[in-house]
Amino acid sequence: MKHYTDDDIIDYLHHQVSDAIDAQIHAHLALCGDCRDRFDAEASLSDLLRSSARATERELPPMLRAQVWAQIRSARPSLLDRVRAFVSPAFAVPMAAALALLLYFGVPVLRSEQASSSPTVAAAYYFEEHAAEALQNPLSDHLSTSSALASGSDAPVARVNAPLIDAADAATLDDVAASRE
Amino acid sequence: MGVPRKPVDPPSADADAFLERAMQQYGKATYNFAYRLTGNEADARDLTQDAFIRVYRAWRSFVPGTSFLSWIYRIVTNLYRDELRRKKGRFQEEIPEDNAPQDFGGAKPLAVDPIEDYMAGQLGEPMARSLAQLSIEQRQVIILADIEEYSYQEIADIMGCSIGTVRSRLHRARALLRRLVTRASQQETER
Repeated sequence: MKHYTDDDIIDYLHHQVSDAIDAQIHAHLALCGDCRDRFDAEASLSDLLRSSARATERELPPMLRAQVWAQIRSARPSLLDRVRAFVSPAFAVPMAAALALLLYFGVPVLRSEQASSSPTVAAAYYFEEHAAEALQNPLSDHLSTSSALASGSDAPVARVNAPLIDAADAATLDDVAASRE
Repeated sequence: MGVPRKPVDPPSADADAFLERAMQQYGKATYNFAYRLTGNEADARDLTQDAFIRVYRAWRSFVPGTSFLSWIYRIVTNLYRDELRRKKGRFQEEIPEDNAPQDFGGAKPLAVDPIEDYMAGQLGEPMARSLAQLSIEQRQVIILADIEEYSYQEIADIMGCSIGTVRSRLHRARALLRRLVTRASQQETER
């Protein structure tokens, strides 16, 4: 007859053996007094542990829940803590780096956009301005504009600067030149 | 134990509700587990308090459908181990090896309230005194296997070790506990 070790019996007691082993040990305990005594000793130890646990069972202290909440509330970050966290190195360094990159790459792009779009507007504006001024004062120091207008040339001033102004501006300037004639 | 060192996340209504429900449903079980682990009420109170604060902080990491008790028992276990390490550093107290019984010269290791400790010494039964002499791991595995009736797999998950380790710890702990209870019972009858 094969006897089981204390370890086998403890595993059996805790239902931690396979169904097949469980059935074998169960059958063996019914026949073997020695193994049965060892099983009873282990079972009584477990019973003693459980009864001791029941006897010493405590209710949750009434103030404990309130103390947990009090600790949580006291540990919650204040507005100042949040501001400090916001400017902490862990946050501020990446933010500064991102800002620097934005300034480095973003600003020249904006400038170039302004640079590429501004001449058309500026030329049209200044040309119109000059033309209007020349009408009022033909002897002003805007010689190129005033002389062109004064000479009654067939080539309107706007056409000279055609790439720099749009069609609407050119038409306006043609009208100005025609009225001058 | 004491106040948590890390600030808690900004208030969340969900976290508040989760914690309140957890304390209502599992507060007593958690406190009793902590009490059996520490052997005294003052430490059990601190441990339970810290465990629920940890639950509040980490409530999103709890997987719905899994055992909340297993989760909080694991938190309690880890906190208790950390606390003992901290106290070990402070008092140069040795944490015993897994298979060696703790010898505190009859006194409980973490008792804070001397009156409570005196009362426990006067009223404590052989089993409670014997349990207190086991190492933390041995005590823990016996509490989980025999009192809480967890499977080896569940105990392994809570303790963060293998099933084989659970099995060997349990076998050694029971053998030692049997001897300690027998000796304590003999001392009781001799008085």
